Amino acid sequence: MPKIIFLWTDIAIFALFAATLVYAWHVSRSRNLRATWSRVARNAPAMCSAVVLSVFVVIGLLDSMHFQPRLPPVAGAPANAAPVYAPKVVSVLDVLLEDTAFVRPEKTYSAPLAWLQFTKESVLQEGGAPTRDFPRLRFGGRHLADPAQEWGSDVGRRAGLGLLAGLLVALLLSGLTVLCIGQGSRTEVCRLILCGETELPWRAMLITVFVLCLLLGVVFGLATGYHVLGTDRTGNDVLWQALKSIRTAWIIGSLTTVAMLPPALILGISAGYFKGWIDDVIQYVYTTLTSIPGVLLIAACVLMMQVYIDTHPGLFPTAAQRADLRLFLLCMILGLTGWAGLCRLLRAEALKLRELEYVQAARAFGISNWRIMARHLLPNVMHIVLITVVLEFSGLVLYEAVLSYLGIGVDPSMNSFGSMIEKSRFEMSRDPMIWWNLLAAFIFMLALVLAANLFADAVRDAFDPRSRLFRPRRFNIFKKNSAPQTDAAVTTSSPPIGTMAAALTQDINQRAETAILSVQDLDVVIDTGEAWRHAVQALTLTVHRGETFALVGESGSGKSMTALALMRLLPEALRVTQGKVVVGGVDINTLSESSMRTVRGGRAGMIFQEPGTSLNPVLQVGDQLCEAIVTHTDLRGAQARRRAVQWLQRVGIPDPEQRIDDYPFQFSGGQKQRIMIAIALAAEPELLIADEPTTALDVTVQAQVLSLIRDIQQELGMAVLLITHDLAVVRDVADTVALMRHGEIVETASADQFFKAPKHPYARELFAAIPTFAKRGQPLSPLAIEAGIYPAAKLGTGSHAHSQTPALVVEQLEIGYPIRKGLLRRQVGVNQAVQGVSFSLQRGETLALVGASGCGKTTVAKALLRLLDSSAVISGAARLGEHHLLTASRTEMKALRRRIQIVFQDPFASLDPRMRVREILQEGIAALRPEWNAAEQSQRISALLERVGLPSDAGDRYPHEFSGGQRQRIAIARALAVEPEVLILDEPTSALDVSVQAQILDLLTDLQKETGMAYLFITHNFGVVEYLADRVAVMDAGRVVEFGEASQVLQAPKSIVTRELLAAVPRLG
Amino acid sequence: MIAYIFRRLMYGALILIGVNVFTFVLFFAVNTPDDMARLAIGGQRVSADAVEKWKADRGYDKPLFLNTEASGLNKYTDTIFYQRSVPLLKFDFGASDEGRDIGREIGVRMWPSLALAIPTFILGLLVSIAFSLSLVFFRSTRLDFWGVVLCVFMLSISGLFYIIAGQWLFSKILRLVPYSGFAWGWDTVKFLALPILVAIISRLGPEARFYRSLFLEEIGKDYVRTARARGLSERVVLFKHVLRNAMLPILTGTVSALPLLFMGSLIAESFFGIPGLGSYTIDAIGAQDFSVVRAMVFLGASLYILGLILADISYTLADPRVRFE
Repeated sequence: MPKIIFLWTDIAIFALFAATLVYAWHVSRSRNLRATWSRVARNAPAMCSAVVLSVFVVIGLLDSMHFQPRLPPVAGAPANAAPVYAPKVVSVLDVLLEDTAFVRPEKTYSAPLAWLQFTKESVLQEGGAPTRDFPRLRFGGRHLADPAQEWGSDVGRRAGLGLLAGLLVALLLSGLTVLCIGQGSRTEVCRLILCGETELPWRAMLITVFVLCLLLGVVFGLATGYHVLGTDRTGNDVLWQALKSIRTAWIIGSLTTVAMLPPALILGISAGYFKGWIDDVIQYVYTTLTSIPGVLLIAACVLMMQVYIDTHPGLFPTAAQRADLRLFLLCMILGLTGWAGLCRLLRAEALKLRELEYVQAARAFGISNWRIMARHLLPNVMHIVLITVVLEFSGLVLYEAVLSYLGIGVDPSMNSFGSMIEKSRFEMSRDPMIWWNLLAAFIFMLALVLAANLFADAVRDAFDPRSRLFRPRRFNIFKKNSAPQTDAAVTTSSPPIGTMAAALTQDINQRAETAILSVQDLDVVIDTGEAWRHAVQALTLTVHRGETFALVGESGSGKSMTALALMRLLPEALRVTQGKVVVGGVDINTLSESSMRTVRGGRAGMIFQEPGTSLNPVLQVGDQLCEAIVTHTDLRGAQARRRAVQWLQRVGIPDPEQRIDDYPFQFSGGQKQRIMIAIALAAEPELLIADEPTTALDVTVQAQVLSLIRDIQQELGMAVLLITHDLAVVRDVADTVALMRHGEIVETASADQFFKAPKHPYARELFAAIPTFAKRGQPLSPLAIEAGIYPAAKLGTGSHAHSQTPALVVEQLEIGYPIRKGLLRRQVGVNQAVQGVSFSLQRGETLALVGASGCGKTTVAKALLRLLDSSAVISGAARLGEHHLLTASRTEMKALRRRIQIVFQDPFASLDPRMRVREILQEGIAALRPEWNAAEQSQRISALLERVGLPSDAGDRYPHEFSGGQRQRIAIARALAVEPEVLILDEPTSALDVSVQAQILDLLTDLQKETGMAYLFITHNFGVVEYLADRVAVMDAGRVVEFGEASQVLQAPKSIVTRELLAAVPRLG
Repeated sequence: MIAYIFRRLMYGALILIGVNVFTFVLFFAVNTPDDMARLAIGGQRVSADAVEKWKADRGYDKPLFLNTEASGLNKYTDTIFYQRSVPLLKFDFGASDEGRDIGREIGVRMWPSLALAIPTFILGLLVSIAFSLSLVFFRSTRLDFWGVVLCVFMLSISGLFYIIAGQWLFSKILRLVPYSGFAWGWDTVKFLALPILVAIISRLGPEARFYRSLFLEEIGKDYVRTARARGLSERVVLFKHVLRNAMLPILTGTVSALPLLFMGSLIAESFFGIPGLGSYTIDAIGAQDFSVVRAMVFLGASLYILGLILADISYTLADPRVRFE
């Protein structure tokens, strides 16, 4: 039995390997991760790299199993003598290659495949006379009797045999692959692989396997008799050294990243989550570390380590162990000096995540900080960690070479690419040149690093949410005007134009002289990554001079994509496959890109939903406005500027002469949208396409912008294509309405007709879903209308009585954010967000807190749940029953949290994407009902899911598998988990479509009836207020300006603010 | 603005103190001066006298932090920490372990370093931006694809190979430029041409790829779509809108790297025999001269902090959103 030696790095590398296997097992269990990794697996370069990397891994692992072989017992030694072991530690790799050239050293340099030494030395001839000549090598070509004659054929023979062996192995491997892929007949699988039609890039991978096998075959064939890449100064085989260097590279690349993970993770997440002084200290530490030049810091550490090793020679019995410890410590040093970069990334991400609603929700449940960091933050930053680890690997391998070159890398006795390069530097200047050492290092390093880089790129693309934005699949499989070929459904589904469309075409011909825009049979397809899907299908519409044509639809109906297609501005993942778009008599799909530019902005202007991001932030607005004028008119210089000022004045920007030189961020949202309108209309186009122009604006600003568009339209006589989801907006401004659903227009009619008697059932459904004062007490959604009411499961024991005991009383609530200024960032004042807010909430009633954005309504909600404690200055009082919310201690608050809960606005941000629905619900229950056992908990969860109308298997699924409305149901279920008396609903429906909003409102009404909960309903949507609220508090600039019964506030408002708000609300009736 | 810069400077000073303490602990507390002396003199058996003499020559014979033998304030000042750290804060680097004045050496050696670093930096930046912009201009075409492949290939090659290959090709085979060395005057061009070329090429891969991703991120933004919607040509969109926004992060990165140019390039200087600060540092590491290494660490940290402050200021000036607040 040989004596097995565990070097430090051996243990580390096997631990890492095991950890990788555990991670792979974890991936195979998690649907999310599996989907992301399968994106990596579909990437051909990445999988080819993976094949190459796995060869390197095998070599590295084999080289990491060390032992000391047992020496044969000394002759004459007693039988029971202690076994004697060789002093040299060898690895399994050494044993496997025992009989090849790899482990047979020569005396000194020899060229690749040589049989003679590279340098001359004195050789004793047979006669005894010494001559200077190139001696024969000890191993290379030893078997040749007459090398000059036989060498060529011998090399060819060995290479050929090796090639054959490699081919056999490759065939065997591909046979195994075919067997493993399984499904379908073997010939079918082979055909798919050969044509490259498999889901995973098997063909590319098998080609890589073939190339590798053939290459290895040739190398090993030759290595049976020659040094394939020559030998170095001490006669060691160069290829052998390169192979041994692989292990060093692996260790440096992987162990280092592992060493830097713990400090980076712990400090980065803590800094971002806690903020304040903890953040300051951690930032100080990593800024200090990064400010020291990296190489110097490493040099300093390595010098210190060297001093330590040199002064304690007794600690390290063998040279190999000393070299190994030095490598291990080098990795630790690299890790400890390199964690700052990752730490900074993690801190930034944690800062973002902590503001997300699912973290806020967890805090609303009183879950401890450490638990939030471990359960919510850590899993959600792991993708950054993974990306960093794979990206760092190749950089570290390259870095090792530099460090070894500087003499502060690995021990000189250890094989590494760095030491190979360092040695070869002097060999290059010899004459004749010794190039093979450098070449070997170059080839191996390039192969390893390139493969690692390609693989890392694929991992980053798959895991980084940002990178998906600009990685469109290539559309080259498209032929002009033909449907995509990959999706059978699409090819067959280009139906003939329906009768309605045909009628419309006729209509177009009749009124052609006034038609500004006509679209016929437009198809747009979207590349979803796996398949092609129709975003817009057979769309036909005509807009006439002076007409406002409204294209209405819920989210995902394809209305915005239609607008972009009309301007030929579709994102790269979408493409028009069919149809005609005629603007001012020209089919724009036939235009060249340069003539298309005269249409954009010249004949058709366009405005977008987000005025905040639609203007270039670093250019003055005048600049951006003049651009449009100069591009499409003959005005130049001062004239263009004068025109720009006129336009700003026209759209209602005060002091246009001064403001023209301001930057976009210096304007309010409404003003930005006005500027957008000025830019779009600067060249007086015939057509204005307005894509949700007012959705991001407050209701009063919305009214102003809409009336501005209407005025200018009348002035210029242009046509307007208004795209919106809001039927009420359409009611006020549209002449013609087209309703879209799933990419198709389901109904086109004049506005009067459409609102009086909608024909399509979907249109009627939408109208029914809009909440109004008149519909109070009636269900809104068709589901509830048909089924009467949801299946009523008994839930909790709230009192149904509309009693007069207040559930929540808020008195003189003041919330301010400290303003810090000056040298020491001392607090110089308070920015009051909420001032003197008082209201009370009765049991079983709904109090609506309404107001424009930024009026402080959400701040009130967060303060009540004590979510602002660390960042804001809060005074005043809030009583929940008899208890004071704002002054409660941690433990008191924990009890109170059972009685007050919250549902957030954005259903996509309020559920942790890495947790199953059951875990999400259980977290809240476990935090606030610790006395319940597992059975009670799961019983409660099932009851809750059923109550909010989710399928019974919902608990085992992840949030992203649900639609927006379903997610909001989950969020409601989470809040109900502990039977609160007061439920704060913070804009719970504003991110939802009107039909989904209807379902949620119905659910909320039912729940209130059953449990007698009191709702504090925060919203800016007056329709919802009118429909739901018992009492209303109107907020403006941090104050409550009006508070009273709903009927009084809504129908006889006293305050000017309320009156203005109500007047601006677009109405259907 | 003034208060802001002053605050940043104070923070910088605080960090420098941190660096100072950290390096002191690293150099003097992990290993005692006795260990260093033994290593410097060499050999396993060093006489105690020799160690004492070595320490006394360099002022390492004092206690680390607290001198109990001295009186009054001297208790704290007559220590290695005070003698060796406080002068650093005044940029008085003292003498190297070999006895030469480090400050003087730095003054002489920084000029060759700058002569190499500044042209490399400016030309490299221009080449990388031009290359990445052309890739972005031809995005989603074969040119872009192969350009990215080239970038990945180039960044997978160690910088050492570029130097070795460059010397081999241009000095040995073509005999265009000398192997290594340095001289002022017209010869400077001759000596620096190859190092600069090599440095630009070895930086091109990673930087062009990074800039390309910055540009592509900008191109996906809403304002670019708006710019296109008003009929601007691709050239105007790219150069006026995208470039100007993407230049903000590039500028910040660039400005913050400026002061570090003084430090020179470790590898290039030692390969090409340029007597700059980089090769000075390498020699010091090789000779295990702790005084020089500490001085360079401190210098590097100060320059880095200066870079951070410059980057902050330049960002403030370049971005109107910050400028007007």
